Amino acid sequence: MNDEKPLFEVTDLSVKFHTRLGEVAVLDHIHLNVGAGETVAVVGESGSGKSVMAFAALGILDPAGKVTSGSVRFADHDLLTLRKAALDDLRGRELAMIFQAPRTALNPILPVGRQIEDVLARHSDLSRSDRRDAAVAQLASVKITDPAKRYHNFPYELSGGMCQRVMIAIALACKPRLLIADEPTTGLDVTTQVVIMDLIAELAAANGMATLLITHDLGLASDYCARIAVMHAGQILESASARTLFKSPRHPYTARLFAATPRPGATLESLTSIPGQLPDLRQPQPPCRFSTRCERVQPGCTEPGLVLTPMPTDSAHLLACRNPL
Amino acid sequence: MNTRIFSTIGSRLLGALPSLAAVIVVTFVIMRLLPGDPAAFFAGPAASAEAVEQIREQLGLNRSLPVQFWDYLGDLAQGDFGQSFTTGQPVAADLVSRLPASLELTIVALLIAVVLGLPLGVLSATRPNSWVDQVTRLVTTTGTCLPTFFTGLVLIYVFYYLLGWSPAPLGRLDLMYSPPPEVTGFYTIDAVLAGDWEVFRSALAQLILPAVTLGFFALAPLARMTRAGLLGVLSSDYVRTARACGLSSRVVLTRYALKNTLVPILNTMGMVFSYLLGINVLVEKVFAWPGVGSYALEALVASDYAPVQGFVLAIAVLYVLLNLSVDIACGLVDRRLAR
Ligand SMILES: Nc1ncnc2c1ncn2[C@@H]1O[C@H](COP(=O)(O)OP(=O)(O)OP(=O)(O)O)[C@@H](O)[C@H]1O
Ligand SMILES: [Mg+2]
Repeated sequence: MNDEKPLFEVTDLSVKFHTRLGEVAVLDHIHLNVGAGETVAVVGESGSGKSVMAFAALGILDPAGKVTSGSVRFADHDLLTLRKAALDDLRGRELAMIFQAPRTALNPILPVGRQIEDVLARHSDLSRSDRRDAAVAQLASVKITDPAKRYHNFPYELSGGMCQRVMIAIALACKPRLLIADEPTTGLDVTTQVVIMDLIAELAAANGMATLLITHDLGLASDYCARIAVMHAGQILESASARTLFKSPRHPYTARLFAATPRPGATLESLTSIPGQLPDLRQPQPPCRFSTRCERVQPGCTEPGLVLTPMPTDSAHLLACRNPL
Repeated sequence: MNTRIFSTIGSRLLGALPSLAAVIVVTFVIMRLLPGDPAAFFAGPAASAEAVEQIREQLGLNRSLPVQFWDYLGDLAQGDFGQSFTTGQPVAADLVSRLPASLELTIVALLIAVVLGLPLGVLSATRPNSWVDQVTRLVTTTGTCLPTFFTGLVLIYVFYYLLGWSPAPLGRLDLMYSPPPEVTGFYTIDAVLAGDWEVFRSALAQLILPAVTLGFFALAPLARMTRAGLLGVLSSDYVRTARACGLSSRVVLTRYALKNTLVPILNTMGMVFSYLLGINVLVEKVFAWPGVGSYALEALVASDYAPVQGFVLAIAVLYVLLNLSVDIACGLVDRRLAR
C-alpha cells in the first residue's frame, strides 16, 4: 500500500448485539482498509462476523446491533457519524453492496428493471425515459440476454444466478468507487460462480472500482484479490498480500484455513478440517479468540494487549499472534 | 390477461357453489331444529289449537321436511326467497331494501378502522416500544376484548345521555326528515347527490356512533396485522438492499416495505369485513338500525324461517364475492398470487 490514505478504512470497529440471551460481542476491534481500485478479500468461517462488518460500515445493521467503538472512513466521510441524508447520497452512488442471498435481496413484487430505475432516480437527474433506457443498458452490461424483456421480469421468474446479475446491475448502476460483495456466489453452482466472479472482476477493472470481497473461500479470495484479511470470531488475525499469505502464512488459523481449502493437485485426504468451532461470543473471550482452538497456544496468549501489528520484515503483512508459525 | 382474470373469476364462483349449497342445507335444518313454532307465534297467544293448526296448514308447515325443503329449493331456483310472516313482504324485497343500511354502516366502520388502524400499525412498527406503540397495544387489546354491543351502549350513554352530542340512537335519520331520493341506498351519499345538506348532516350524525362501535372492533386486527407484517418486511433482505442503495426513507417505506405488507393487510380487511357482517346483527339491534341484521334477528325471535334463511344465504353470497375481490386485489399487488 502506498503513502496516500486508502479509499476505505475501518479502524478499531467493535459491534455488539443485544439478544435475549445477553450481549454478544460480534466484532472485536476490526482494522481493515481498501485502496482506490484495489481488490481486497475478507475471509472467515460462517458466523465470523463478515456480513456484520459490512452492514455496520453501510449503516444497515439490525436495530439490535450497536457499534461500540471505532470508525469507518470512506474518502473524506466518516460513515458512522454522517447525517442520514449525506450517507444516503453516498450509498448506492459511490459505495455499493451486493448481498449473500440474491433472490431475497431483491424486492419480490417489483419488476427488476424498476429496481434499477429506483436507484437511478435517487442518484441521477436522468429523465424517466432515459432512466428506463439506462436500466435496460445496465441489464445488458451484466450480460443478461434480451434485457428489454428481462426488465419486466419479477425476481421469482429469474434463476439465482440471474438475480445476482440483477443485483450487480443495481449496485453498479451509478458506477460506485467501492463495491462490497458479500459472498456473491454462495448458493450458485460452480460454473455460475466463476461467471459471476469474472463479471465482477471485469466490471471493476473497467470502472477502476475497488472491491471488498467477503467470502469463506480462501481459494476464491486468492484467485480474485490482491490482498486478503483473515477474520475469526470477529477479529482480524492476519492480513497480507494474497501471495505472501499463500506462501508463508504466519497465523496458525490462516495455515489451518489453507489446509482446509481444496486446491488443484490436493487430494481429499490432504484436506484437514479446523478443530473445534467458533467460540460462544456471549461468554467473556480471551484476547485471542482463536486460542481455545489453537494447537500452538501458550500461557502468554491469555495476556491482554494483543493487537494487529505489521511484521518487522514486511510492513504490509499484519499479524495478531503471540506464537506465530 | 383479461380473459385469464375472467376465467379465474368464473372458476372461483363455480368453486363456491358447494359451500353455498351447504349453507342452504345447514340453515334450513338448523331453523327447524330450533325451539319455537312459527304457526303458534303467528297465530298469537290467544289462538285456539285448531286455529294454530289451520295456520300451520296455510303456511305449508304440516308437510314433511323433505317436501318443504324441495319446495324451498324450487323457489330459490326461481329467485324466490319466500315470504316473511312478520313483515308480510317477500324476503328478497325486504333484504334489498335493508341491505344498503347494513352496507353503509359496515363500509363506514371499515373506513374508520382502516384510516386509524393502518397509520397506527405503521407508526408502531417503525417505532417499536415508543409511546405510539404502547397506545396501539392498548387500543387493540381493548378493541378485541370489549364486546361490541357493550361498546355501543357505553358510547350511547356517554355521547347521547351524558353529553347530548349525539342524536337518539333510533335508526338512520332523525324523524323530522324523510330519506333522500334513492340512488345508492346509502343515505349519506344520496343526500349529497340530492344536495340536501340537512339530511346529510342528520344521516351522518346517526351513523357515527354505530360506525365507531363497529370500527373500534375492526381496528384491532387491522392495526395488529399491519404492525406485525410491516415489522417482518422491514427486517427483510430487500429492504436492507433498498437502504444500502441510499433510497429515501419514504421510498423504502412505501414502495419496498408497505407494498409488500399489502397482501396480509388486504386479507385481514376481507376477514374483518366478513366479521363485521356478522357482528352487525347486534349493533343494529342496539342502535335500532334498520339493516338486514336486525331484520334477521327479529325473524329469528319469531321463528320466521324464510327471512333468516334468506339473510344467511345473502351474507354467504356477499362473503364469497368479498373473498373473490380480496384475492383479485392480492393478485394485482403480488403477481405470484395471480397464477
Ligand atoms: N441480528 C442479529 N442478532 C444477534 N446476533 C446476530 C445478528 N446478526 C448477526 N448476529 C451474529 O453475528 C455473528 C456474525 O454473523 P455474520 O452474519 O456477520 O457472519 P458471516 O461471517 O457473514 O457468516 P456467513 O458466512 O454465514 O454469512 C453470528 O454469530 C451471528 O449470530
Ligand atoms: Mg454473511
